Amino acid sequence: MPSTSLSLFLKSLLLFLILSALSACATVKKPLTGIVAGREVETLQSSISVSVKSGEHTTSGRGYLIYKSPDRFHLALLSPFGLTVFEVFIDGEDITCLVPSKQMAYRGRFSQLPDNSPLQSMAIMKWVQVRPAPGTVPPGTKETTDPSGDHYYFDENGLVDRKVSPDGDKVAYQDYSNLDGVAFPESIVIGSRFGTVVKIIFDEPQINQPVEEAALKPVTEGYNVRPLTEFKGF
Amino acid sequence: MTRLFIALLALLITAFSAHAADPAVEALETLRRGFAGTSDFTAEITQEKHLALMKKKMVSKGTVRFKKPDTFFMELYPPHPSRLMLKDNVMTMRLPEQSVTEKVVLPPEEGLKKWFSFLGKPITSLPEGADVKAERRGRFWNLQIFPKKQGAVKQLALTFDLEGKISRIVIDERNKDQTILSFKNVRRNVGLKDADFRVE
Repeated sequence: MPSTSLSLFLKSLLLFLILSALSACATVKKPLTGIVAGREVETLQSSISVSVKSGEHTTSGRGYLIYKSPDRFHLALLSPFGLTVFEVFIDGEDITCLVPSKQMAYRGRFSQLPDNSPLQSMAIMKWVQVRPAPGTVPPGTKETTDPSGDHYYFDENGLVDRKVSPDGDKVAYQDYSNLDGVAFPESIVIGSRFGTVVKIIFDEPQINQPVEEAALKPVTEGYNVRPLTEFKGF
Repeated sequence: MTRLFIALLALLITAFSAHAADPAVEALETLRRGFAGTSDFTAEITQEKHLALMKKKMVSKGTVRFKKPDTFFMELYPPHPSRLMLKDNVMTMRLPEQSVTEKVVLPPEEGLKKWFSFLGKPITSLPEGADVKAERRGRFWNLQIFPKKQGAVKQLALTFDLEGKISRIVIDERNKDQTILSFKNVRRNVGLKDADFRVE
């Protein structure tokens, strides 16, 4: 359960954690059959379990995630009793955070954030989404570095096992299974350059099913809407 | 979260001065008496989270336990396993599948001991912080609570019997999500031990 002491920075990490899940073109440690070449995750809806470890502090919780390609998603974190305690909507460069218990909403664009804002770390989302195009990696490749300096490690099936940025951000994909022809990880672990480790476990994910527009659009009626720069946590 | 549990207690406690004939007061007092006469309890719980924006619902089953003066425990089984213990104002939460345990210290005013210490006083009025409606049908009360303060919760609905045993709590959120907590096999004063409240 997310605590009120969860730092803004850690929360932001949850966001790109989610995106890493979406880039699940990645890898399988055991042979998978029925994977359809070229098929990717266009939409995702899943219950999730999340843990965030930063230094001595660990925070965990569960919630759900809704994603629609290329860059829209809705993440909600729940309390142990099931109440929604925090929601984030991202639509390209736009981000909206909702804190239902306080009826507060924070809206803005990534570009409006000061350089020292912890929310800047969400810029990694773009990095997480970048991956080798299907078929561009020769069979048998174990490692490769793309022009940007990102280093990919592949498993025996030629899928991305993990990815490391020149700055030290890492993403690992674990326990793949076949979901409607797409190799999809049961869990993902992200280690940021700042030392934070985030793990997400998907529960019965549904991919490429219709996602209603309303599911990706924040409803701020009745909320006190403030600039994103004022967001201090929930 | 724990605030929900505490809010329920607060409703019982802050109600101090109205018409005994008001069914809402009678219902609250029934609930209060039920807590006051209980040294501990255990129950099976089913938690259903209905997401307004998703077709599926998240269902968890588990158990809850309480022991006076200040200990509450809830364990949910897979697929969303978790164990939570609230010892006065210290909450410990474990997600076994994440191998993570965390401890959160709540503000002292949110501690269980403080609230339960008030349960000796009969409820004679409705709380000021919420509109409360109640209806009795046979052996059961249906109590509806509408918080006046803007917050995540739009409405709480509780179903309990004449002994104050809660069988169902429905929480409607303003974002149109709904959580239903159903309780079965509620047993009181069974002599729970500290060993029954282990998170690890």
